[in-house]
Amino acid sequence: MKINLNVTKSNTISAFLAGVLVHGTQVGMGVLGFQRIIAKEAGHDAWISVILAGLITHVTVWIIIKTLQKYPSADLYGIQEDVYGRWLGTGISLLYLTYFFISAGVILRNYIEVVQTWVFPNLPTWILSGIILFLVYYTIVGGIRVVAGYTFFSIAVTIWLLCDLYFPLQYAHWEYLFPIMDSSLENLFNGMLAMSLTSVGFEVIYVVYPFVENKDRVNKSTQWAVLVTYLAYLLIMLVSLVFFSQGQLMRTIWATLNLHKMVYLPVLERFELVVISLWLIVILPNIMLYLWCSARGLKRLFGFNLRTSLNWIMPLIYITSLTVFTRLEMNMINDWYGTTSMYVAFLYPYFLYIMVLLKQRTQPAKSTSKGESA
Amino acid sequence: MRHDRKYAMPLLKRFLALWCSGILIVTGCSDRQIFDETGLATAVGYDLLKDGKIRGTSVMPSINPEARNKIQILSATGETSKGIRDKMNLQSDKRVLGGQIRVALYSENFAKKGLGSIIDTLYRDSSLSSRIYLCVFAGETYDMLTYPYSEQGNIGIYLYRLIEQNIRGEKIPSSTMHEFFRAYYEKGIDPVMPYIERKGNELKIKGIALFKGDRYVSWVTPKEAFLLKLIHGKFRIGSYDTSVPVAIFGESPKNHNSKKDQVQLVFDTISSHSKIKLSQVSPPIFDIHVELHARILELTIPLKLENAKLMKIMEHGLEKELEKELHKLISKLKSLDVDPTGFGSIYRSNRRGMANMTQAEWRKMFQDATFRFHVKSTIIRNGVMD
Amino acid sequence: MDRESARNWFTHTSDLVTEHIDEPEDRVRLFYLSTMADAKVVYSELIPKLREICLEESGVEEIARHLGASSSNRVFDEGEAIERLLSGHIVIQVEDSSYGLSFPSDGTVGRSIQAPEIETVVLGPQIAFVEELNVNICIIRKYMSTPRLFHERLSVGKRIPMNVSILYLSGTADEENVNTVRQRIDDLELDTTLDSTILAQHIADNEKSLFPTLQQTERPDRVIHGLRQGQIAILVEGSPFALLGPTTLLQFFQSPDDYYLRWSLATFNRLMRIFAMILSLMLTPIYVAALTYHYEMIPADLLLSLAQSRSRVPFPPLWEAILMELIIELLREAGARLPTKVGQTIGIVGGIVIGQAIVQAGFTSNILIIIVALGALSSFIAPSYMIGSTIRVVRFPMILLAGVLGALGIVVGFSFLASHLLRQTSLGRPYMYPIYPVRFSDWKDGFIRAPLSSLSERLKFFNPKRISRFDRDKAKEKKDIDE
Repeated sequence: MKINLNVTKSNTISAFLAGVLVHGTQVGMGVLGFQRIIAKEAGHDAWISVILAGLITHVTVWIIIKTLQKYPSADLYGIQEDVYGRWLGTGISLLYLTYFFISAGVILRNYIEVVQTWVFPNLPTWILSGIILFLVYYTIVGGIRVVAGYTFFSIAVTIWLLCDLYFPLQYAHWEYLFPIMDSSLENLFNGMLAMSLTSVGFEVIYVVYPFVENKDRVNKSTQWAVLVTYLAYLLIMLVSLVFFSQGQLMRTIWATLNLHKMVYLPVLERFELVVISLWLIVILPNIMLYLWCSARGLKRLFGFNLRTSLNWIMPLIYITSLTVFTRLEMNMINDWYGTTSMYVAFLYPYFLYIMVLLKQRTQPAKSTSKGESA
Repeated sequence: MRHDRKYAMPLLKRFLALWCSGILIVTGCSDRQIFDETGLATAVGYDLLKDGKIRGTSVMPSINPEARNKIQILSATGETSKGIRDKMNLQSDKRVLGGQIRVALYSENFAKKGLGSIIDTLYRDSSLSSRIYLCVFAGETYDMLTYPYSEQGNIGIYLYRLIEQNIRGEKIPSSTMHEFFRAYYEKGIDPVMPYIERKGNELKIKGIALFKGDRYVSWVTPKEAFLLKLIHGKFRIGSYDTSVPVAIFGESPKNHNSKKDQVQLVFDTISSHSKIKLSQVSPPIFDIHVELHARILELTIPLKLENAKLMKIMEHGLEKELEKELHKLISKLKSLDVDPTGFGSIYRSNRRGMANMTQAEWRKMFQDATFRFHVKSTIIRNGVMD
Repeated sequence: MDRESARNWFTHTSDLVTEHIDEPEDRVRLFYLSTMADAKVVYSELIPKLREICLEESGVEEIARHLGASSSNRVFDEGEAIERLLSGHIVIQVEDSSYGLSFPSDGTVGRSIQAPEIETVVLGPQIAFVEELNVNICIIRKYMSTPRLFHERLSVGKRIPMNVSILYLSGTADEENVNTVRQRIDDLELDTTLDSTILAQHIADNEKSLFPTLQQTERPDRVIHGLRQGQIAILVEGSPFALLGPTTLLQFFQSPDDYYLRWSLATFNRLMRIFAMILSLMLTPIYVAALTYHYEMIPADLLLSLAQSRSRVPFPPLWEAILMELIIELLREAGARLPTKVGQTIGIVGGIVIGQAIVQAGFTSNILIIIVALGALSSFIAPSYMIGSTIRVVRFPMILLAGVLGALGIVVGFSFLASHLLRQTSLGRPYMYPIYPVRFSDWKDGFIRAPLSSLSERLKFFNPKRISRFDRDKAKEKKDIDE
């Protein structure tokens, strides 16, 4: 495997779209119910935890981009092989690839659960999962450009949902926010850790990076993407905190959907049904990118064709998604996934960066080595 | 690779076709709630029977063109609200569903025993709206819903409009299910609901039912409800009528027919905002600053209002009157030991480290608390006549 | 070519006329197809002129000189002579000479130039293409007189060749696009009748997609506008429709009207068309979804009236909606097939009689009638007939999805549509441009139509060689107020 990649011009995306991808992957299932998890730790100061998590994410993304910029056009799999060597590198890459795969699975399962809880209690999982995966497959085989386009489309058609927060704001009790900084630093920190499930997604830039055309602007655009994500989170969190009382919030699993229950238009009520349906468009880019990343991993590690990799991955995730879980098990899986993602997405980049620095110090980078075509 | 695809494609296509037809067959008969094949309850009422069971009554529009009545009423007894719904289904040609419930009524007796569990199931049910209005009815809701009203049409929708109109007009505080729950799960505030009564053919909002936790304790008049909102909330289009002694205008009553020596004043398009300050922590002292702008709509003696001094007097009279009424209300709330305005939340939000304050702690503090009202009123307009 | 070989080539061709001008000797012969060539030219010009000279002695050079023929009139072999005969030439052959002479004389009948009927506009030129390729190119040349207008003639089909012309503005159009078109047409191997609509399907990027990837227009002004932008026009003999490519989805919602009206009106129209398209795609599915699955979403004000209008309908909402949509499609198809006058009657019968009766009979709710009619109306707003038809067809799977999965089904449908459209290309260029790839600077002649003075640059989509249309600063130079 070559460490650096030459991507054909017709397959590249602009730095702006790289930002779009990062934002699109960050926003997903977590937003529907992150309020409760954070507020459990940080109480009514949960919004401070959101800001803290945002800051950490900014730094982490910056480190990731720094790592990538040590190479001319490498992705995570290439870097890991370069840093750890052939065998260890492949092993770690396999783990990371599995993480991408599990991420997609967790998102898929969570969405199916929401649909079955709120809209169609009797809709069989195999249908819903199949439909979603068909859409995913159809888009991925269009290439990264189509995936990026779909992500852009998904942001464009769902960003207006933020305006709906006007309705719950009419019921706001602002004193719920006070006194500010009532929670201890430890609680705030725990709240920030609890944000990890909602924050992850930016790590796809590890794999997308070689496909970006103007790499010098990736840093800027991804930072903007993270900023936009966290501004949206902050807004939703603030509205939730003034809309729900703490005791109520603790009993609300999907607080964002409950927020939308208050929205009504003269011709349409009960916007949570609209939101749940539209959320399909929000989570599709998540699943697409995660699966694309793991398929890319298979291609990079074992030289499979991307289409062949997908043909292996799609049935696998389909079968995985059919496993039945109860709500409690789902909570457990989400907790476990949250912890794992914290290590994989938030801590590991720093480690990798240090490793890359050490490696490049002992031995000059193979930056001049010829690339492999994508 | 090319060979692979050629081989894979027809298999994939066959699988897809099979799968699509599977979808059509399976989803075709699950989860369907076809609009005209469902009984859309618009209002439900719950009574507590003597044997401890709950009687539920639901009102549904009857869309059968051959039916004479415009509404269909089902009633059943059971232990839980969902059990009641199951029994109702046995009486109906259409599946009874709750997604269109606009109003949920509880009889006074039932409310006194505590509504927590039954409302909890409502909140848990994702098919129900959060904007359902909850109310307490003076009497049995069964009698009220089954009464043959002549003008109200669908009683569920009528009640919904009745309450909504009054909430929009700021006559009563908003009381959606969401707000009930918010107050119920919050330690420093007690929930309220509209209190409805029936007089013959007429339905009317008698006042506001006060809850202590999930138990109904008493009710207050709309005028007192206005004051509740004045303490903690904002008005944009409120209205208020009061009476002040004629003497304060420096005039003796010319017309001896006017009852006693009082002047009736009616204010409308009141806009107000309040600021509550916790001046002392223990025992708590609250300073409540209320600032309100009002337009005088009606007054029962012919006064010339061009006189600025007269306006001042009137403003002052209004302030004094409001402060007096507010004190009266607070002492009433204290005697009932309920806190519908949420002084507890304000107390919590003004002190650090009180996030885990319990309800009992707050109730004790509430009894010891002192409330000082500072009302400042401005009469900004006085109609087209001076 | 002598008489025998002519007879061989044209067996069973009763319209072949052979004139022997110098009867006894039979040295000079004149051939033409009476259905193609203009007989007037033969009998009032050529034959009298030929009689003026001594035919027995003169060779072909003399005749040619006398008739004023030049080198282009010479025909050297039989195949060429036949080709010319078939396109209406008159061929003169002199025995034992090395070449023949052919004179063009177009005696075919064609439609006269008329006003456009399919893409009508209120303002702007009222001229449409006809079936004759040369006339069509004449129209374009007439309104676009520049030597930079390149015109390539290709012929498609091995056995029965058809003339196809590619037009583009050199120096503006992207050479790569021109190559793509040329390549695709050259690669065609077909043996069918050829109309531009058929050609469009043959050279489309994805033939299986519902969405057209080449614009078809009967309006010369549209073609000229496209050429100036850097598009390539393809004209086919016998087709009154020109093809324009590459194109984007958004362009199907643009009408030449947009440039004739003031920018604010044009912007309003454009936004309305896009809104109408979304409306047309969503209205009926939303009705089906709400009534089949999401009864909660119906607001209190609509609840009772909707319930009453649905109370007598025997079908579930899905079948009710499909029935109504089918009726509308039947009406449309019937209206399109019938002569204009009868078509109007059908409209009245369908619209009023059936609509009224069907509600009274309790077959559908009157709210659905409104919704379906609105949806149909919205689909007819599209300025391109093709995209209108596409949208009408796409509506059916959307309704089906809504009937199967409710609101989620609608989203699934839109999601698939989005992926599908993102994957489409037109002559290798992204079809969803400028929405994706995002190029905000081109939105001002996309969703909206900005004032002409701000459209100083050509759309980057066509990859034009010359970006600038006019010098913006120069156009902006204005006198000061007090000058």
